[in-house]
Amino acid sequence: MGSGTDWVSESEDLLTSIALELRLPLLQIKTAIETDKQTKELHDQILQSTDSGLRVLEAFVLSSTLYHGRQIPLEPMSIGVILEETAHQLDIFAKTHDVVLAVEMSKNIPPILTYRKGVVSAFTCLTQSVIRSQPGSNLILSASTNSGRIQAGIYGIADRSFNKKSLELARKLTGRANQPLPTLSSNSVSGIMVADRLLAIIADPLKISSKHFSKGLCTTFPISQQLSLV
Amino acid sequence: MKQNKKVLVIEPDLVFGKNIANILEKECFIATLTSSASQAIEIIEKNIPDLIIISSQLPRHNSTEFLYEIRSYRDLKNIPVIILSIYPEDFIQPNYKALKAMNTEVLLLDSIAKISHLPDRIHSIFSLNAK
Repeated sequence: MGSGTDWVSESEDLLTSIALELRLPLLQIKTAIETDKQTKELHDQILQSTDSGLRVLEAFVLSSTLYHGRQIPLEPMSIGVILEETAHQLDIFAKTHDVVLAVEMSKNIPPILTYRKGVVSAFTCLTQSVIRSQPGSNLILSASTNSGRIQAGIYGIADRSFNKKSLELARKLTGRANQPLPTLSSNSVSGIMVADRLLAIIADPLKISSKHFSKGLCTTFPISQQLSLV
Repeated sequence: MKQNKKVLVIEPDLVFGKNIANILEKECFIATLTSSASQAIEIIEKNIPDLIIISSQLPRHNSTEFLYEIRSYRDLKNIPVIILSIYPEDFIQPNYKALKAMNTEVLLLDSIAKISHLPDRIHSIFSLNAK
């Protein structure tokens, strides 16, 4: 974690990025109303658009709250349950973007030790951003053990130029460039950056990894020793 | 009034793109939606549209690059293009001003803009080009 001054500066950049990205759900709502859709379809679209904006805002507020000294209530939990919850929350969102979102878990994954609300918030933000940038694709939420920790993330990004360098550059360009991650998305990818910041506090920052013959964004969690002793 | 004019919409966000396509189809335009410049080139090679609507920001490509590419093809030199931009013209790349002279318009998506006015904009472009 950086110094206090870095955090303030990074927060300003992230807020700019969020402001840029929030134009999209608002534009979606505005144009949905202009299309004069049938009531239910209109309501569904407005709901999806507002939820997508709120998720990013809530994750950002959570990351700021956690940073400013609030004690993080860690507890053992199943990463599989979290991934299933993420997929469930984003089921309709994925369908509206013609994305097939699946959950795949390695066998016998031990529980992780983390802050449930933070992880769910981070994963929904992250997954939502990837869904939006990869319309018509097959994405997988996946978890496995890796070097004594649990690695979990979203996979299915086909672009081979999406790599560690592009993610590092995106972190530097957040809030300063309209498209900090052009290999993945045309927008400000604030959902990914907010998830990155939140995960850096409660787990590990996002990294690029390969799985299922594609690229993905993942983080790692410590294994809960508590239940292992039972 | 039946139009039968083909409009290619290049918009990375599928939801926003579908809304644009819906508005166009209500005015009897034949709208084809794609999310990337590379897919757009493939579509154009099979079936040249009468007009292209493109987002100013695309993944992996720049809309200006795409415009220059299609302008390099003889068949597509004069095809009307509307760029959808969330940035004021003053802040758009200077290239856009030059492209305006090449049958390219910029539609700013600010709080005043209405996508429902897009068909009228397209009608006036076709009317001007018909003269």
